[in-house]
Amino acid sequence: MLKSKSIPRKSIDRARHGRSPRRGLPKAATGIQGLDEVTGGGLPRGRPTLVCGDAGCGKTVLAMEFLVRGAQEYGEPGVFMSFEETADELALNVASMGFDLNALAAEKRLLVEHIRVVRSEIEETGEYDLDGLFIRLGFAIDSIGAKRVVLDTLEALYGGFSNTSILRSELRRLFDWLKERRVTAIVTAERGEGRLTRHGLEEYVSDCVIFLDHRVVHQLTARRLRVVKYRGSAHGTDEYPFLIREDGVSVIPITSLNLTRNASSEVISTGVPTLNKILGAGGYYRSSTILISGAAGTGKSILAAHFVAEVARRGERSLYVALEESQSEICRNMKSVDIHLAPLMVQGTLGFLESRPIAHGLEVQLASIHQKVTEFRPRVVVLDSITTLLSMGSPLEVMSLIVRLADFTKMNGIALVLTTLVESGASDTTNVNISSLVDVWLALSNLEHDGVRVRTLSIVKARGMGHSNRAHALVISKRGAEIRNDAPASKKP
Amino acid sequence: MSALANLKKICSEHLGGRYRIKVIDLLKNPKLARDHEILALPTLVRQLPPPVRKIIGDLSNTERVLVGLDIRVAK
Repeated sequence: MLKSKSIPRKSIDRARHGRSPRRGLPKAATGIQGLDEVTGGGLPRGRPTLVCGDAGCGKTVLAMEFLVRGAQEYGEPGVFMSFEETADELALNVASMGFDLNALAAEKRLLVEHIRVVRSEIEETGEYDLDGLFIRLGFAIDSIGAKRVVLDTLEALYGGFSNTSILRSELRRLFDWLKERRVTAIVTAERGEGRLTRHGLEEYVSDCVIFLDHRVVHQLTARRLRVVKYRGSAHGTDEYPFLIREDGVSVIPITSLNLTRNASSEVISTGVPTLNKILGAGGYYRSSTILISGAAGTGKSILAAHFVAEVARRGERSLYVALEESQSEICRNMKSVDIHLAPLMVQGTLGFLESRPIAHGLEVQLASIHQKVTEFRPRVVVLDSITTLLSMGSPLEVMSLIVRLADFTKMNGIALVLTTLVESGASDTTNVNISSLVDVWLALSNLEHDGVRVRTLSIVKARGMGHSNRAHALVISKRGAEIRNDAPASKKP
Repeated sequence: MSALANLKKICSEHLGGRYRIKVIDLLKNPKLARDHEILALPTLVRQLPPPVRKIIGDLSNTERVLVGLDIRVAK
């Protein structure tokens, strides 16, 4: 006989009527990229959070990363109670993200315990409770001094026990017990028909509920994260794109809540001396985001290539993300205007990332850029063109990708050059609404003048510097691009 | 405690002297809860003869206890 007497049932009332949660709610940072921004600092410390969604939406990965980051970055050991996968299966599944569960377990910073729930092995005769589960959880927490706990997924208990009224009261007691133990917990649950979870676990968790969604749009997978509720705390209420990458989970806030970066005042030449002259600072600032818009054939890629070549001359690396043309096409075309990219690749100052937009979803696209930047460590990233991304997602989705990318490059002191195709005549609109995001915006267009097509360039904006307000002629010859003072259009009455 | 009383009664009525009952307090030996994969309490674990059987609850339903222990075949 295995039995136990006293796990207090009524002492929870104290906890319930404790301090007001509204004043300075303490939070536990998850360490998950983007999630701490969306939640304004992390999950409610010492309280349970419910993470729900369909099978395969990323609940387990998110929960595991919360523990791994907690152990590695915040010195908070964690217990993972798995009701589905075994410890070995879990270790194998997250090894691809660089999480070494066995090493963390050996250092007593993580404890993974598999709880088998098989109804056919359990005969029920009369009243019982789940004190065995409480004892195991308590023992696991005490053995490593855990501050974080994951229960994935608690609803498996419904598959093991038939008495749902006992289960309901025991689950309520479990959530209260978790609060009493002051552990920061993630409890996962499967999405239900017409409600958040299949067995209504949201009734027990009053502090924080996060919903993960996983849908396929245009044959492409899109993951979304939404903070459904966060009592006593401001939080982002949008649906945020959410990625499972090779180094963990990443949530992409539409607007970053955390914009503390050091603005660089270092200026880099654009590679076109006459363009430097009309930009007040004499070039681009080191970590600025530059948008070059224009109709087909206005010279967008050429201006980007000039910059890349200039940066290489300084001995720094650039990454060219080619979404429209292939690397060899770009090299050939630029060679015709005296910009020699192929030797830069040999030299190691230029890297290409070719990507066929149809082949991947936006999240994969962002992830591959992110990864390449991390490997190659460029000082300039060119994305040519963002218009192509629109075939992969809505303008809003493309915008969120660019916002995230621009945040990332800025924080790492990288200049980001974006090109975008616009209809001729609509020179200062973009099909993706990112104008507020960019620091420098160069609008190119083709003008008809005396039967001759003339290219023009105007600076729509250039943050932090005075700049020319005129439309200038942009001349592209065998020697490259050059700005002339006056565009023919400006002479028109 | 009613589970233990129920168990003793069932054993003495149906097993003669061919049984041994060991009572374990998991609060004193929490590790055993993991080793024996215990979730619900009280749990009766039949270790011999194999295979291991688990019966949870206060053992008030004699019929189901007997079926669970393989002493009686389910109807």
